[in-house]
Amino acid sequence: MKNKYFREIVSFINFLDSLKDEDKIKIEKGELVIEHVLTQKILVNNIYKSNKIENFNEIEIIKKLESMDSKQDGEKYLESLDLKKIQLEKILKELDSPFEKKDNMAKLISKIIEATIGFRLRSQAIQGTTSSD
Amino acid sequence: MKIISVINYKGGVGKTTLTANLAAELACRGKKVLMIDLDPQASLTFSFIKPEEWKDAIAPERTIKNWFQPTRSRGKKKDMEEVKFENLIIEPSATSDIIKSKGGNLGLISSHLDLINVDLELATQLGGANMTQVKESFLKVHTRLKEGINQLEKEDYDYIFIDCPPNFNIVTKNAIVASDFILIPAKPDYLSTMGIDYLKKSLDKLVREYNEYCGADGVIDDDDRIDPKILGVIFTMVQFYGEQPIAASRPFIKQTKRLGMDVFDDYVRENKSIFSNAPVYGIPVVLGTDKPHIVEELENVTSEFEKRIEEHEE
Repeated sequence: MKNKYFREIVSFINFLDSLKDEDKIKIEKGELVIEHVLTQKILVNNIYKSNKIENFNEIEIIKKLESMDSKQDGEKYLESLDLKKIQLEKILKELDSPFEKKDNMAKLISKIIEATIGFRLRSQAIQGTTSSD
Repeated sequence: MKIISVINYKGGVGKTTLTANLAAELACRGKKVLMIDLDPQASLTFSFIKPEEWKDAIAPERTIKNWFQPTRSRGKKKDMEEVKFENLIIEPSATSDIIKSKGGNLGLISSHLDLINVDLELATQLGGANMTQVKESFLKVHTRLKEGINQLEKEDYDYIFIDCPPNFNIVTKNAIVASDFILIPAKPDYLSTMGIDYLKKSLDKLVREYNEYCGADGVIDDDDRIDPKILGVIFTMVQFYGEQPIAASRPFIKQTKRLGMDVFDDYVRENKSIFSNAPVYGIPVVLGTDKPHIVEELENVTSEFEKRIEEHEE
C-alpha cells in the first residue's frame, strides 16, 4: 500500500513538473486549483475546471476562447463543456454582449464566438493579416 | 500648423458633423482653423453656406475643384500657378461674428459636386514610359493638395481639417499625404467598425508606396516621406441608455479597442433633431446654447482632441 502511495506522489510531482509556467503562476495566485478526484480505479489530478455548474468560471472560458484563432475550435470547446443556457448567458453578460431570452443555445454560442474570436478574424481578413503576422 | 484628415471608408458615420463641430469649437477657443471639404457631396460646405450662395459666388472659381482642376480660360487650361490656394478660402458669414468675438478664425475651402470627376482626371495623369516617370507622376498627382497647403504660411492656421469622402481614391489619398494626423469617426456598429479595418489597410499601403517612391532616383527628398499618425477613433451617433452607450453598441466599441485602435474616451451622441437641423442655419451645434449637455459633450471631445495632439507632440 505504501508503494502505491509513493507511486502516486511521484506521479503527482511529475504532473506538477509538466505544468506550463502560466498554469503554475495561476495556481500560486489561486486562480487555478488542483482537485483530487477519487474514481473507481485511479486517483486523478485535474487542474482544469470541471464542467459542473458549481465550478463554472466564465472568465476562464472567455480567456481560453480569446486565445483561439479558429471559430470551429471555439465552438468545439464550448460544446465539450456541455454548458447550460444560463451559463452561456452568463458568459455573454461577462463579455458585455447583448442577447435575448428567446435566443437558443446555438445562437448564444454563435454570439460568444463572435465576441471572442469572430471579430478578430474579420479584422485580419480585411487587413490581410493573420495572428501569426 | 497641424493637418488632420477626418475619414472613414463607411459613409454616414457623422464625419461632417464631427469636422464642423470640432473646427468651430477650436475656433471659439481662439484657434485659427481651416476646413477643407474634399467630399463631392459637399455636406460640410452646405453646413456653412447656402447652396444658392455657393452656386453664384463660390462654385465657379473658389472651390477645391479649382485647385485640382484649374478652369479653362479662352480654350486653354490655366496654369496651376494661376490659382492661389489662399484665394479659395472663404469665411462663412453665419459663424464669423461669433468666432471673431472669441479671437479665433474659421475658414473654409468649399467642395464641388463635380469633384468626383477630378478623381478620374487625376487617374489619367498616372503612369509613364519608364519607372522614373511612373514615380514622378505618382508623386505629382498625390501631392497636389500638399502643395496648396504649403502655399499657406505656417502661422496662418493652427489646425487644418480635411473632410474626406468615404472612399480611397486619389483625392482622398491627397488628403492623407498632406496630413499629420488621421481622425476616424465611426458609428458603433458592424459595418462602420469594419470601415476602420479597410481604412487602416489602405492607409498602410499608401504610406508604404509613397515612401518607397520618395527618395528613389532623386524624385523627392527623403525628408518628404510621410507618416500620418492615427489620432484615434471617435464613436459618433452613439445612443445612450442611462450613462452609457446602449448594449448593442458596447461590443463594437470594446472590439475596436481590443484590435489595437486608440479610441476616444468621449463620444458624440446621436441626436437627429439637433444635428440634422444645424446645417440649415449654418451654425454648428457646438456654437449653440439650446442643448447644454450636447454642447458639453462636444466640448469634451474637442478637449480630448487637443490633449491627444499635445501628447503626440511630446
